[in-house]
Amino acid sequence: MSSLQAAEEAPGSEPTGIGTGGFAPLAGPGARTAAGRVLGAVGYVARRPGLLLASLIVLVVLLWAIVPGVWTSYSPLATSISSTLKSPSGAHLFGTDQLGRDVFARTVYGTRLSLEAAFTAVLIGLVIGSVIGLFAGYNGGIVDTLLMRVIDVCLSVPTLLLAMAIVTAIGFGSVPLAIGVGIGMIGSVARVMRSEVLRVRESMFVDAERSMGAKTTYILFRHILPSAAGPVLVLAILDLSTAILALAALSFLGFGAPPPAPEWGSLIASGQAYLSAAWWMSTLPGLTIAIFAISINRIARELQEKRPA
Amino acid sequence: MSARLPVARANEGDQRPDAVSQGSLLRVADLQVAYGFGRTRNLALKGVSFDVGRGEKVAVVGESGSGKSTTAHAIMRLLPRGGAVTGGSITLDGRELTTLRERQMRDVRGGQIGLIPQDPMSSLNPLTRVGKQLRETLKIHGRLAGNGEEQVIQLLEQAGLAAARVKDQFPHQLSGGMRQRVLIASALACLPRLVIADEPTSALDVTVQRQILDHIDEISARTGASVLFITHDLAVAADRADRIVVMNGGQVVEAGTTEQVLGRPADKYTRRLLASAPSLSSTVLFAGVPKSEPAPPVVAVQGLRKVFHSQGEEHVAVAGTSFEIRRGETLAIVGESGSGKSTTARLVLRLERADAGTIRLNGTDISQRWGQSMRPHRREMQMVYQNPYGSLSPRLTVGDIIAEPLRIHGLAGKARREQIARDLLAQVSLDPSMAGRRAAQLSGGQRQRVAIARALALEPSLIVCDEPVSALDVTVQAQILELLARIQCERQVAYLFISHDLAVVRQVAHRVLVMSEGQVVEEGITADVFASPQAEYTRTLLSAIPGQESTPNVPVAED
Amino acid sequence: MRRAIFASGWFYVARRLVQALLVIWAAFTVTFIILYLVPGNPAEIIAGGASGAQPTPQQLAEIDAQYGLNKPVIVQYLVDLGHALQGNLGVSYQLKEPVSTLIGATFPSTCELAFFALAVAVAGGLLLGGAAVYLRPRWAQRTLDALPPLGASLPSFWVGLMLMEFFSFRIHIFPSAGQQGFISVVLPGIMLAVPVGAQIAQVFSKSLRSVYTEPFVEIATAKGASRLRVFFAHAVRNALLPVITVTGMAIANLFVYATIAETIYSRDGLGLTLTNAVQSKDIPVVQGIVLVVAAIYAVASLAVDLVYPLVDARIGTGRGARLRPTARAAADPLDPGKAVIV
Repeated sequence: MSSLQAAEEAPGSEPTGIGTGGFAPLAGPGARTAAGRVLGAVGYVARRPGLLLASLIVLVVLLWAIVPGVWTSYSPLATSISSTLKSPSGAHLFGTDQLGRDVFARTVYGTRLSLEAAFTAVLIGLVIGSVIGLFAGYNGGIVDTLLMRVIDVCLSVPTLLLAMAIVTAIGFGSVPLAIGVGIGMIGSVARVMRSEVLRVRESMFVDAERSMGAKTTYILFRHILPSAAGPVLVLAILDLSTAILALAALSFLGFGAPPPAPEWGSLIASGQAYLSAAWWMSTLPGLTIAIFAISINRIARELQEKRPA
Repeated sequence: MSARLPVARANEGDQRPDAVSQGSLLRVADLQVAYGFGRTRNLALKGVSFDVGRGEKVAVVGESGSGKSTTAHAIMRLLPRGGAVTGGSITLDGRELTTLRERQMRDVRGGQIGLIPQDPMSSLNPLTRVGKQLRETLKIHGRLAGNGEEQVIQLLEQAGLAAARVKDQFPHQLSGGMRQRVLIASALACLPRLVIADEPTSALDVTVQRQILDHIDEISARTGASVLFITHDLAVAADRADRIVVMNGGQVVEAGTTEQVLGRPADKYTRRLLASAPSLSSTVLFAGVPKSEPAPPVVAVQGLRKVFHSQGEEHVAVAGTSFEIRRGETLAIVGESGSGKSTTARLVLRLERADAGTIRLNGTDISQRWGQSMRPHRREMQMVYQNPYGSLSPRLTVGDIIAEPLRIHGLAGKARREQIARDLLAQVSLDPSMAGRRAAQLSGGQRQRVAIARALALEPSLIVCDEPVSALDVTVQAQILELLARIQCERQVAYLFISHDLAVVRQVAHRVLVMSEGQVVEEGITADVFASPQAEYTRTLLSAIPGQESTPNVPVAED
Repeated sequence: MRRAIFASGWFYVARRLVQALLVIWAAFTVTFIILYLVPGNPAEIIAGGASGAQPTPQQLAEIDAQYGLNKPVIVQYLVDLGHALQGNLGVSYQLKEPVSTLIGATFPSTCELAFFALAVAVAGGLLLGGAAVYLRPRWAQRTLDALPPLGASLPSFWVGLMLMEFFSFRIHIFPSAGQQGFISVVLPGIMLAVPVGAQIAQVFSKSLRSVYTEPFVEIATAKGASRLRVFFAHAVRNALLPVITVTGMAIANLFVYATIAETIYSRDGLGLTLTNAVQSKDIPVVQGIVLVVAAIYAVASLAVDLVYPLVDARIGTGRGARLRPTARAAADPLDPGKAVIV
């Protein structure tokens, strides 16, 4: 019993905005206005070099997708017989490939393809997974058990394989891959949503709400969903990096958009044959993917650590 | 300035019959402990001094944040990361502990000083058999004879357990009391000279508490070990300790023999503590019930029954309970865990469906109502929960929380709700400006006040209080009970008060229902039940209340 | 009597077994549905082959009859299911050989690779995760904690290429292709082990830290136990449970992601069979492999569920049944539900 009190009376416990996921800048004294909150968040990020770097990288890559022309003057498709297999230099940041195309340009232009597919996949997983998880967690009983068995099956087939099965069925390309990877993500989102819903549903204050006469839908929208949204969104961000890696792997295997589309995975695949001669063709785009994925993960972990225990 | 205890003189002044050799076993002198660094540094202990003599039992009493637990951890050098002894000394048998190397300290831990932990449910390794865990203590200190089997059996038997069976069992197969006995056996395995008992019974049922405390007494007598009790319960200290040290805010505010501290408390805080401790104080908080009450009872329950089914097993939680509560009256249901008292409360509130029985609320039969048909009746009864930390939404502001019942029933617009919330805050003696804060920023006592304010929002005729003060410090507890009594006086609201703590019940309830394993074993007017209990179980419960043997004032209940 | 049945360990085993079978069946059904969506006529695919000439309607009709493709969906489904239960996974459209033979031929190589990778991942992950918690200097902890997220974010095919670049081309230790015994398993194995090992390290260190906050760890120290003893005898044992779960779930994933390793390192394995089948829309082969992988997952899951009660006495039996986490739920939901190996 006194451990309960000790936790509260513990010296130095600062007010944290638990309603905002414990994210101090969003709950501190300056958090009254929206502008105040944005400034608070920016200041928070600025004080942490790792997070700052990760955020900048993500921003840059997003800009690559949105305005690729700003970042490189070359076209991703323009071949040049005179400058094949040139190593990285001032003129060609990532060197050129066997057809003389600028690898950096291909990487930058490929960003949009890859990100579109990744966002689609995550969206599919998020929406369908959330609905399933919500339904299962809120209803409980048979519905829950049934839906969880379905999720188990989803989880039992590795994403890559599922995507390949879908590609077999509907053909190659970014879209089938996105669908395949998206379906693969349903499982983990559903589980997290369900567990959050259960956690809030079983909590004492929801019990109190019920004793006060609150209707089920009321509790759902006023308490359960806002509380569950946080962890699910953090998972979605993590899933984004997972999706990027999965899609890259699938396009590496050749199931993505046909060449000459500069999808990241196929960029690296085409460089495989030239690995010893022109290492930059595979290494540098791959490094880009890696750094991007690491940055997303860093941001996701930061958000994850701030959520209430 | 901490009250320094003059050691030699206290020893001379002792009236205890058993012989105590000169010189103390443990001497804590001006101990300072700090947590954290730089800006977040805070002083947990600000110069604590006290002694424990050989064979003596000393209790360190304090509420949460007093530093009593930190003291115990500092003595055993088990401070969490970030905590360090920054001044003072701790000597055991003349040997300075604060400067020992880690290796030497390991010998002291378990070998010279044994620790009995607070929470027996999670203090044993869940994956290892109990016997093996006992062996470990012996092995570490090189006291293992052969494979240790004999010693383990002996230790378990001395602990009052069926050794042959228990030694091969896993912790989850034992009850809380049994686990605590194992932990005590483990703490004493190497015959340490000092045993530190850190709130050894706060997580146990009241009847088991008494057994464990008796057990500790017996061990101390048999082995001659000194015992340092850490407790928040002054009554336990009163019963079991030879000397009491009272701590508040990281300092010792009073120390002396039990008779001195209880009979002639010098410090203001000590007096407050004494006045607040339910089993030691004689204050009765409720007002009398108006005798002639023509209106029907607020709630009338007849033959309530609830059976739980799980995994093919049937468990009768409540077996045919009946009672009535009138306006302005408090009925308490008392019992240990598993008695069915909480389930009864939930059945009355229609949070669970009863399998049989009738419930009448203000004359209306609500036994079959559920969902939509029950909703309007929910305005007439509200609940205050035990856990002030879990029962309030972490996301809403205090004002929102209090006005939530109004919002649910669509009874008032936003502005009006805010106004009502502020009024209610004032009524529970909180500053109305707190409406903008979040629950996380409030202390336990404040949160409970908010919970009470919320319960009052709909002006119900019945408030069910499910162990509303069990999780609170004793001085805060007293304040909350006073608040509840005042509200009852003002509004004539009926209370159904659920508690395991008979001492608290004596203070607040007009009538009492004693439950055990789903059955009502006794009921009646509080004073009668306490003065002449009819049922065996009631007598056991009553005798288990600590603090009865040593209080100079015999508690007198008002009529 | 009912209570005895529920409480018995056998009931636990039986339940798990039934669940495993259900999962395999469900995977089979779902793939069947997906592959049924294939546009175009399967008969054409079968007839197509190497000749490139347009098949005659007569040939198509023959193939339809031979493969039972003209029957209604339900019948095809039940026929396939019936066959599958007997071990007959159909015949490859392209190679005209029984699927089970094709899979059987390439399975051992992939199996070897997957288990080697698993072993490396578990050993590395436990070491890394454990050291991150046990070592005292803050800088050591920070560094070791930073490694797993890094490992989980690297595209494994890229890692495979980098490994080949350095340890095969620059420094000629390991071969870059082929299957000449153990030495050719090393590089692809390490490539696959990185993301799984990273995940294991993360789960293990998180679990360890959580166990360290439990009271019984403090009590062990209070008994006089040394830091080492507390770590191994108390903390690690209790922290291993989620690691077991994650390891079980990773096995099936490793089999599939071995596809990438086999592509890069030119190994003849299940992966090669799979990619060829996808390229040529060879439905029975794809379906067969999905079934095999689902079976591996189900078996691994079952193994984890059976190992659990051995490690943790609270699980599986009557009294502790309420405490029983399902093996899947034991891992933190926010850790990726599947191994992030790509």
